[in-house]
Amino acid sequence: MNYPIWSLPIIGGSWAVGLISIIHIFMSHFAVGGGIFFAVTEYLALKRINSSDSKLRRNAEMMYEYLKKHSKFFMMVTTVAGAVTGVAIWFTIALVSPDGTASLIQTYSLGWATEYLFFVAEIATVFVYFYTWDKISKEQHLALAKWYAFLSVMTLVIINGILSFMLTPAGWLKTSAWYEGFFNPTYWPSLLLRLLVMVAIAGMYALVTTARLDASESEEIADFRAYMLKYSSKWFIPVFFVGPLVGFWFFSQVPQVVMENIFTGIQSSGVGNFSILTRAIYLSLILSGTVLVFALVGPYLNPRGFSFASAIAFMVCGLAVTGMGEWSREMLRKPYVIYNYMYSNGLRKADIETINKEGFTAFSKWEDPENIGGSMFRQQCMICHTTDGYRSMKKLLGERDLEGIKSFLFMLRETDPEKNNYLNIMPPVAGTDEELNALAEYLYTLKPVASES
Amino acid sequence: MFNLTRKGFLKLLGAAFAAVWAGFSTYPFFRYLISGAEKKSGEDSQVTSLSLGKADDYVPGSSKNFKFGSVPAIMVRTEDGVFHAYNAICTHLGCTVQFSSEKKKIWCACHGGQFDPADGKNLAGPPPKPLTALKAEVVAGELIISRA
Amino acid sequence: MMTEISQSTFEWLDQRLGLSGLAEVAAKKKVPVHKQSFWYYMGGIAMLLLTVQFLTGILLMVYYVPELSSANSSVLFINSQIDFGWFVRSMHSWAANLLIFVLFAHMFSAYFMKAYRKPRELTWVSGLGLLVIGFGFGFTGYLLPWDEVAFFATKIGIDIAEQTPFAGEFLASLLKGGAEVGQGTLSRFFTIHVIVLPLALFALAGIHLLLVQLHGMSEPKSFQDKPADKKKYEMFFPDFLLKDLMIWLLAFNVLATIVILFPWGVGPEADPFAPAPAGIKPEWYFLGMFQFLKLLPAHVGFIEGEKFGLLVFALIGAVFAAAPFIDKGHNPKLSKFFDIYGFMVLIGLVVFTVWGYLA
Repeated sequence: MNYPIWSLPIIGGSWAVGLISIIHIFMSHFAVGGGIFFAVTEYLALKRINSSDSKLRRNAEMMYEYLKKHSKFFMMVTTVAGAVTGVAIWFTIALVSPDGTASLIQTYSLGWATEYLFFVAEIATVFVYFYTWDKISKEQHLALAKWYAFLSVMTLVIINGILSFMLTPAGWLKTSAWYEGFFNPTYWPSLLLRLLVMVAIAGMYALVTTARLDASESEEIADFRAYMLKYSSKWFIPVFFVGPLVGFWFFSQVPQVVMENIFTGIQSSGVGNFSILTRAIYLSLILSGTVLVFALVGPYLNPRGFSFASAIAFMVCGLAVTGMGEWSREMLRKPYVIYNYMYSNGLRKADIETINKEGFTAFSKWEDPENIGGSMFRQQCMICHTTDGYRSMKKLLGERDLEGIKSFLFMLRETDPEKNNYLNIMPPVAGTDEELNALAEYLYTLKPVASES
Repeated sequence: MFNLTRKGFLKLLGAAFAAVWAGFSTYPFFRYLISGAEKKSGEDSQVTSLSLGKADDYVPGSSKNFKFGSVPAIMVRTEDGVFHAYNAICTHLGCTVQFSSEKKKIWCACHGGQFDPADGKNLAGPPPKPLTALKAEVVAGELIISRA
Repeated sequence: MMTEISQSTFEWLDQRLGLSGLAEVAAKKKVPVHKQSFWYYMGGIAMLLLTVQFLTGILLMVYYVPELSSANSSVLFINSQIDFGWFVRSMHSWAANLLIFVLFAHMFSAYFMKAYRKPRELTWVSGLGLLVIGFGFGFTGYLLPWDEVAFFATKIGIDIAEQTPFAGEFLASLLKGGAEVGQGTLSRFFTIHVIVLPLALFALAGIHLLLVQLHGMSEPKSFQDKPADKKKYEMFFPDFLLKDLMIWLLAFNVLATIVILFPWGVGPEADPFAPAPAGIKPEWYFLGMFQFLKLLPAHVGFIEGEKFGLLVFALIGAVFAAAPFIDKGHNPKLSKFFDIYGFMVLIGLVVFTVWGYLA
């Protein structure tokens, strides 16, 4: 509306944001969880290295060896893939959802700046951490690990405020006070839930690097490998116990309309967009359960039988849950990008009435006067719908003729939920009657010619 | 028996939470089975009215057993020509009632209960309550049965 | 406290059922460890999917009505009115397809590892019987939603069955239960699907599993030829069983993900008087054979085309089934022949199935 729209065919702009963000989550959750993992594990190693029991001392020595290797993997993955995808998010959201991004920047500019500072400090710390193994005292190195853990948790603390603000802006809608939006109803449950998940993900990645140890080299290594696998699998215990409780807390703070959506989907036909939120949440729950059982029967109960291939398979499952969870979380917020304030397509809820009266052409700075219908589609619809790829407009139009499309659009303009069933998944269409007709004409040209015969 | 060590306590807690997780996974199947039972009554009582055909086809003193949705029902045209309709479920133990043109009463074969065809009132035998009434009226020559 | 309870429970049962003898035998069960050990999981995955089918099948039976005017609407009802009905139904449809795929994987891996050799000939034959039962489940179950595609696919399937030499017409009549595919067919298919085939499955699978326990896991020749001290084994209880459980979790995850992201819809209700939709095809596991039959001319010599096709299938299947009785391991040339034969059958199936899709 205020900005030109960048559209991506086939997968659509929304999945460009989605794929990059989900990969970033795989990395960032490793960074935070891993920071805690290094701090805790190095602490244990330090405690045991001075033990009178020679077995414990040897165990601690091997732990240090392992942590060195694991930290190389950690550093490479988080600073390269993590940082690159993090910046990539900025590129994609600015291109795909410029109005929403602008709003977040304006509301939280100091928050973003602080986040950036913590990132820089975090990355600097991890480099120092990796390159000073055996070069500084063990106590100093542990202090570095704790410092890193603190920095990366702070990056979560900040970004989670902005992310959860988008779902439940709460008091900010009235007062515009940043702290009302930042410390919103879903902030604390989501912060806790993310920390629990991050701790589990740290265990998951540790399983991968531990499984690479070659048990056939020596019995000592085989024993250590089994010990370390069991140790890593225990990092799933917090989310096992506390996860459901925090989950319930989170859902109790989510807007009621959304909860109704979810429950309606339980008895939907399972096909199509009305039920996708329910289905995605359900799959997240199923996969969470199976991942926990996997952790139990795999590395915990039978570490010597847990191969590298199993660790990779486990990681795939863990990442799948994470991805599903993030997708579900994003869908909770529909049809808004900032709940009750700004719709996914950048239109502010408060402006809809004005737009309907004065026209979208007057409102938008990027209309093409030669092709009002096409511009309407581009500006209001293309953030979620491609023409014939993801959520294909062609397919969704179905067998409707021009009159059918017109009446559908006029229904979509209604802001009364009784009259417009789609309000809980799509923004209302905004524009004058002429503009809606122009949009209908444009949409009609999308339909394959065969349907006219 | 309750000499629980910390390890024992954690194991017990773990088992309890495992049971909670397992409970979550059975919830959908529980809902699957129950939602049909919840729904059925609502679904079938979607029938709000139906037609029994031409009113003149039924002579006074005759009756018809029919289905009103999933509920058995009975229509009686009494000697005075008036149409009456009721749920044919006997209020004693639920058997389906019928009309006897000799006795000129609605009666139940199971335990001999009797009802008045004019207002469904329980006249004799074990039934404790009258039959539930439905509305029977003639609309443009058609006999229409609907909810009371 | 818990271990005391389970200990005393075990003792009580043992004194009445002789469990400790079983436990002793079970404790000795071991699984060979080699490069092809991964294929040992296939049978277990098939069992997992079968369990899913039984559970979801029973749930579906609660609401499904095998009557002509109610069949399609009852499936629609399950899909759209019952809580999680779409999930149960899609699990059933997808698990059916995955199961048949796993059965193929299980059969071919056993074949190429030559697990059919003495003393496992009966295991092999019973396994082939189970595959046929699996096809029977697929064919009969497919009709039950009574939608357009199912109706016509069944019609074609029965027409092909009618081509069986000698017993063809009788078989077709038995399946159809009437002059046309209709209520008779639906009732018969339903009965076959929910009780006849399950009973046959339990019986044959019981024998199959018993034989596997009796003979232990088969070892490929390369493993057998190793010196005794180089042969690596792992204990079934608890190690391999735990690994089995991990694999089952993975398989279940894959199934659940497919079900959630690609739920199975319901097609329009069958109209026997409408013409068959263009390009009607059977499900993928019959597609290869279907495509092959389509390519045959009306007559091959003096035999009708389709009858000839069925004879070819029977012959290919017979040689495949006879493998343990011919390739006994004493003749390396025969052994190689069966390797190549199996490879050709597999390639043929894949090629014709893909061809059928693209056609």
